Amino acid sequence: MARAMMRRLVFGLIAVTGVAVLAFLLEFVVPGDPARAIAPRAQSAAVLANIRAQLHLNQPLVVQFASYFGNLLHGDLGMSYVQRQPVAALIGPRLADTGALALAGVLAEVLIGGTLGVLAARHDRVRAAVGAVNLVLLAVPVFVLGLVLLLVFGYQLGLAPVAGGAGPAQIVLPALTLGLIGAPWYAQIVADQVQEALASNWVRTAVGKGLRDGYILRRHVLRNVLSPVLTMAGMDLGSYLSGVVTVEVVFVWPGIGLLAYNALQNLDRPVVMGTVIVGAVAVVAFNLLADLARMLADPRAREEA
Amino acid sequence: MPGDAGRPAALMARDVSVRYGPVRAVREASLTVGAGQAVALIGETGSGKSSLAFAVARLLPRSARVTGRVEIAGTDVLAADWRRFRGERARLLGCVAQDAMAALNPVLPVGRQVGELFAVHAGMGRRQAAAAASAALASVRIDHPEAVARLYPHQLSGGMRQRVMVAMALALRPPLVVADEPTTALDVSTQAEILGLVAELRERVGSGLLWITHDIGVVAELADWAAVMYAGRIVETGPVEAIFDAPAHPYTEGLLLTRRDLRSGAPGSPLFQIPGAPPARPDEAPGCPFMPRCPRATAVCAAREPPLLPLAGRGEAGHQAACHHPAPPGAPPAPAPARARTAAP
Amino acid sequence: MAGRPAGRRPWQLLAGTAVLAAFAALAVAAPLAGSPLRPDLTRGLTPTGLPVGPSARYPLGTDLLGRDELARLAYGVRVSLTVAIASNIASIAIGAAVGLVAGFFRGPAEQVLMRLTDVGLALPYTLAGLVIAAIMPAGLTRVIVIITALFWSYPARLVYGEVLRLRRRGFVEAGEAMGASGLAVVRRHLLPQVTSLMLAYSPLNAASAVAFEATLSYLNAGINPPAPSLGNMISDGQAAITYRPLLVIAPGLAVMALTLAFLLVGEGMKTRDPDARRLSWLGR
Repeated sequence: MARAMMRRLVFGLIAVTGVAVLAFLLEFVVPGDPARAIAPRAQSAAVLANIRAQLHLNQPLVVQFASYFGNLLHGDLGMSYVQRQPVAALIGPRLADTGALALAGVLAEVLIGGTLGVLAARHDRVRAAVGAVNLVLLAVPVFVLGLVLLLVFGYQLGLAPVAGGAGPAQIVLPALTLGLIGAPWYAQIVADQVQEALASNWVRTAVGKGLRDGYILRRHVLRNVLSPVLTMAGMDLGSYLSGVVTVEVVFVWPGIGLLAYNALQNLDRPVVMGTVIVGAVAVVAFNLLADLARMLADPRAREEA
Repeated sequence: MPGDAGRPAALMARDVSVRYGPVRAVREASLTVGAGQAVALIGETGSGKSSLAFAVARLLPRSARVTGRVEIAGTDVLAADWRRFRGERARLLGCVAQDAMAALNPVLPVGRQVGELFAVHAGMGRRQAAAAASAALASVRIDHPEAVARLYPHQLSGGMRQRVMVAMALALRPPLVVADEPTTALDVSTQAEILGLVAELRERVGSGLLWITHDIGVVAELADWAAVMYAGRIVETGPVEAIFDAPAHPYTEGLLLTRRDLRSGAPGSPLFQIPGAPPARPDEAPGCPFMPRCPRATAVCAAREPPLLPLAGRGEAGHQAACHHPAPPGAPPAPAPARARTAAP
Repeated sequence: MAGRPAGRRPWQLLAGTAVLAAFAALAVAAPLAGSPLRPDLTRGLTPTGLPVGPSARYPLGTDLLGRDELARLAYGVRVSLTVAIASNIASIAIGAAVGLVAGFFRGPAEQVLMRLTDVGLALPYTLAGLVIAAIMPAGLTRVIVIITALFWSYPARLVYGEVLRLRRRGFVEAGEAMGASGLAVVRRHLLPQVTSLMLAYSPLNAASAVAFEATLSYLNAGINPPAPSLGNMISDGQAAITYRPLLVIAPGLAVMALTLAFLLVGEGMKTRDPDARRLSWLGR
């Protein structure tokens, strides 16, 4: 098991390195002059050249890449062109806010999807209804759903704050948006797994033992569904941490996604690269955690590894 | 039928039928297991023997329709309210399934699966239930029961898993144990161990036993009484000695011949097989479903399905067969035409 | 083919196709609705400069600049459908080619292509889309390139899996044993199966493409104003969400209906086991 995790860790590191290289290269193909972004009103070419020199933008690409990578190994993500702050200092607090949103979103999707899935597995009529709801939820783009929720609960009913910012009241709608968008996938997998389990011999054994339906569902069946759900939730957590751009933009949630979005609009290369690399690390780390969780939840997976 | 006089029969099934949609898997089967008695239910795959066994336990999927009357230790099973019966079932009967790997929850330690029974039915706390589970595991001769209790089904051998099933079936000392071919998935020596274990425990607990098998060989060692099923019906029933010594139904004769061939035949010698196959939909034709394979078939067999009737002029009480032309007692068991087809070596 | 497979639900196919046909008609007839770009400063805005509500002249009202919302919607649908078709064809063609090559030739080609596919599957779509958008000029081409670049990996994995499955069942060896060349084996034994798999997948792919185009345009990374797209119409309309929510709702509903229609077509092509639940052991 430890060896399998090590192997995955190594693969993960390679992937992160690859993303870092890719991000660096992509960013240098981006048209637009960062010096202009920093000093939009500067008239003289000398001022702009001076800024470029300060940022080492006048050096060959290879040299820039080497220094960028060297700094990266020390945890230094560089300085933001626009905000004149270390990128790491910009990302740090936003990572916490994005983390809170990601966690709340994953919780919401597991709860909503899990409930729908169990209901669908047990009742034919509910299954048809859940199928329809699933289809609609799959069809609606994240930002449309976010705006609809904002319109209904924020503007019409006044139940949720409409202004941006991070806080316990502000998190409800974006988390619900993530939850509703993610729910169909969980509903599908839970419904399939529960249905399979309900027709299994071991559930027959449990029924034969005189256990109540609710008990069998909670202690036996859901215990079996846990491992695929945990795997999916772990991966979702990673991908949400790497930037729930759309939701953060709609709700003006001050996280990584909004940071990356603004940085891209401002041609703030170091920030874009920083968010992409942090995102890649999050994806890799949480995929590893998801594997670990799966092994804890399923004794059979432990031996396979 | 024999059994302890004072106690009600472990199982009394009257005219039990099971249908899956239009398919009738069991047709008007009646069967009694006296208190503390062991009855073998013998038949080929698809004969309806497992459907009958799970029907008496009310453990068939909801697509199955069961009619008739079933009593376990005096409790009416089919008429009972589903919710009430669900709680009582484990006290009434224990089940040992064919494939213990599939019948145990793969993600729960076996100790918890055994302990649940005590927690739910004896109101024990977690620790007490765990101790009772270990004791139950020890009673099926599992060494180091505390350690085994913490293992998952896939970490146990096939024999160990089946022991766990036996421990669960007998945990609440039910008056009836239903075992659905519990040894078919095991190797020969483990089979013998489980067989011995079940026989011994059953006697200690005093449970009646309904043992389902397609292997007529184990019947003599284990059972007092036997019932043979063919195409959804019980075609012959009686004390084991009577069935072995003087089978009346040609199908039973054939089953016994397969066994004799197995015992006497040198390796590689052709095995006896009953020619033909059971009908796919036995209820559609009017006659005896065994007729196409029967060496003694006559016109009456095609016209009417024979009812299960006591055999006239036999010494053994309760020996019944459903055949228009039952073999006379003492007749040679092997009708020549039935040897027509032999399996490839 | 004789008879439909049991459990096929054709009404979804019908409903989805009908909705798509209606949208296609709207897209084709877009020029009839008027100009999507020219602001009507006299009748398109209220005296205080606000957009007007629905009327006979403007069935969906006007947007913040006094432009005909219906005309913009029709042209936006045009963009959506164009993107859906073009990026669907492109991403499936690339994905199927990658999957076929990797599954058929195996060896190093398989390793390289499938690792690349894994990377493609692991990318955070929105962020990756934004990064690619930053290096290209705005417009239809940019959207199609982004969606194709991000969407080919899933069909690649599907096709790869299918080819391996066919291999296990001996399709390739049987073909080669009969003396067929590699190309003939691919054409005669693999391609038909892969084609039907991709046909079944393409409605779902198209649905995702429509939704993603809207997302990109909403984030300023797809079709940029003044050219209309359902996504940037929603983004523009957001400023008026408190007093003229129709400017968000109309294009929002259009995106949803389009995606849903594609998904319905996909569902209608699926079969399912109607008996699955009757096997349950719990509660009668």
